[in-house]
Amino acid sequence: MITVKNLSFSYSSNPDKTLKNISLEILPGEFVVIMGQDGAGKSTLLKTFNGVIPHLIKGKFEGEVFIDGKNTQDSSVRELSSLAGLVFQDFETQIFSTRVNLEIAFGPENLGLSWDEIDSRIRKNLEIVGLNGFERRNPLTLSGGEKQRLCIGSVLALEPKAICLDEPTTDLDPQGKEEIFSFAKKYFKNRKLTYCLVEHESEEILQADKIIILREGEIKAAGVPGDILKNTELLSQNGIKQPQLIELNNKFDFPIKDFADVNEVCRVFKSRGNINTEKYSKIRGKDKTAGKSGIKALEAEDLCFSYESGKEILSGINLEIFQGEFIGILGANGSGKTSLIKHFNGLNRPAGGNIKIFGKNIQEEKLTSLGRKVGYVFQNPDNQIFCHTVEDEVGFGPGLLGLNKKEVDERVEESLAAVSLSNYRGYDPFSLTKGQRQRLAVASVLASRPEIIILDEPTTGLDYLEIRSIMSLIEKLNRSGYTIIMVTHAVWVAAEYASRLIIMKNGKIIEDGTAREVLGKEGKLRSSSVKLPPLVKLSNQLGATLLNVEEFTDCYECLSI
Amino acid sequence: MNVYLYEEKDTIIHKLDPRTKLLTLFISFILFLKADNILEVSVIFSLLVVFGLMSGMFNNILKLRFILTGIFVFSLVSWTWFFGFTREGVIFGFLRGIKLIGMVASGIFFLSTTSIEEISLGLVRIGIPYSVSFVLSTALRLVPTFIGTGATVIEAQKSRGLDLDSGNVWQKAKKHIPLLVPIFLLAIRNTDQLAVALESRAFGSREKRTYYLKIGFKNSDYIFIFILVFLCFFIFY
Repeated sequence: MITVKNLSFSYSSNPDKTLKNISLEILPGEFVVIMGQDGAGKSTLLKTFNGVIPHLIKGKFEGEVFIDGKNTQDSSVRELSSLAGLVFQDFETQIFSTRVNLEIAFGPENLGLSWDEIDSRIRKNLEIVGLNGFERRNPLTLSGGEKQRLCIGSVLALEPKAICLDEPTTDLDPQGKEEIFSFAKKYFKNRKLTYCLVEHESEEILQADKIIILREGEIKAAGVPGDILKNTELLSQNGIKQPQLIELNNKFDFPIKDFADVNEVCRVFKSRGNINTEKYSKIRGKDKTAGKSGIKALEAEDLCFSYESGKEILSGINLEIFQGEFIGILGANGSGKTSLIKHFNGLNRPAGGNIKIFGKNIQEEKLTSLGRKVGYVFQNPDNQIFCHTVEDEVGFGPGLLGLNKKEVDERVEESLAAVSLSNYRGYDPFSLTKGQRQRLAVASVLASRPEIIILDEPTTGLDYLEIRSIMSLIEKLNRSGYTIIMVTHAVWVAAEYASRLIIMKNGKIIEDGTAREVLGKEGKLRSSSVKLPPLVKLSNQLGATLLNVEEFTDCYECLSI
Repeated sequence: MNVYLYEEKDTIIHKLDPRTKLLTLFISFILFLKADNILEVSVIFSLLVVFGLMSGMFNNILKLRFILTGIFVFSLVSWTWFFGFTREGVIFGFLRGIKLIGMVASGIFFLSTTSIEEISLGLVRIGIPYSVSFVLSTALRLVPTFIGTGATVIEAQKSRGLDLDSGNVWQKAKKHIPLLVPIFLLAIRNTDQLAVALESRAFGSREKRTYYLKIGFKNSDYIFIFILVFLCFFIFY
């Protein structure tokens, strides 16, 4: 279906080759996943499949790409759009209409199809992506998962023979991710549609036919998931997260066929050994001592909040956060997580109840002075970066505090060192990678020397190595005394790093406790759309709640045969 | 948060052909520009109010009342200042203010009753090339995205200690300048991605494009245009 021969490409803005001599063959009906770190060339490769490269994005193009036998260089993107459909990560820039049915119609309209044909394609494709009944809705009012399904539907409306999704779930919450993956699994397989996916999340791609790993523009490995995902060394070299259960089983080497099926894995582990209760209670013993200094950093009493529209967003929140704690807040989109944390630095003002910071009522303080106690790192670093150099960016906050140049300089130095960006002082922030920009955003907050740091989804859109790097930075800050409050969708991140978890649902806190306590209550979590990492699920079924592979291997004892 | 003005409703005005509404907008602008005494202005203004009530979108005027009041006050003050603080000057400023918000309100009613696709198709049908009308409608469509980013950027900067609410007008304006950087970057990035996404959806592949949306003049349009022309005639002579 897709044949790539000796393809090399470099963007006109950058003389280095983004793709180097790539050759590959994707068969009709195959499900292929392309993985690799940011900057490995994954998206670039995908864009050559429908001719966006070299027709629309200019650069030096060598080699050939064939789609369904057609050389992409000889056909226009518009012609190719009916052969290979491309869906991008950022759904906001792919939606052109203010009504769902018109969005699906957009492609067929451009093809000049008849009205009746367009009408039937709208119906067919809304059905496929499960959005019938939404015809007249404004896409703006849809959830992230629905928006991305709409994008897929409107590309499918061109009836391509292959569909390529470029990180379709990166911007989605777990529920949205689940929607996309389960839809894709069901639909593309049955239709025998060729399906290429660029993805970071390795737990979801165990069903792929083939995995291709790119690094620095070259194919480093290609093969069936079973082989590729087992190879710990290969994955870590390429910054790919190994599925936890495979990582775990590499230590025991039990015969397991399908790692996507936790129940199967569980049966095997149950029959081969069990949890050593003594070691488990030792691990649990460590939980309690973490974080509780006795000094209350933040208190919320009967906190209520609603926006102008009148819908209650938060109701009756009671919460005490102690100095030095590392808190993870989990919950579905719209459960009130972000609304809650915006109260902690005064961006939201409570409609009812009280918030206290170090015992002092927040109402008595101005937003600007709160900023010195509570630092807030926004979800998208690009919304908070606005200076021309890294140095100015970090110095912005201290400058507003009225410090002299030398003091500002000192703080810039100190904050950049904390996030390992000291060598980038004079750089333009937008020349940094996304992971570095996220660290820069943390540094600019550190520069005001707050005591509490709030982070809204710090790992969204980062690859595995970047996630590890930002999280170990946050962990380091926590150890040096900062109180950390982090909203996240990545349950495994929260499980590994946070000492205390808070689960929210419909504006209320439904669970609050150590990570182990909370993740052990599987039944209760089911209703909150917090999806447990497979490893925690497995351990729960074995009668213990274990948060990472080390803990598991520590506690699990094989039966001697 | 819904920042679009358009809302789907079942009113006579909503059902009019977008071209009829474009014509209405155009005529209301001319009438407001042309009118120069209290009587004329108040007649046109009351017609606008009737139009607004018929469209059932008066709540959008209320939503934007602060902006409208601002425009009115600014116009009143500056024209009065220009002509000197006399009775004539005040009346002139007052009229100018009313005329200005009348025109803005016509625009609000237009956008409240016509969806972006209808506007785009209406423009195509009066002979404007699709590519041009698409650019216009995309600009309209992106407004909420930019407002949303603007709001986030303001929150981010407030959290870092920027005090946007104090100081005089000039100082406030100066403090808002950094806000523009992320918004411009977003706009640039958006256009890049937009171009790729558009091509991938076969944009501009055929000379002749089909339109799924159906518009056309109905009896109500003819009646409406007739009334409009009649009113024009009445006011001018």
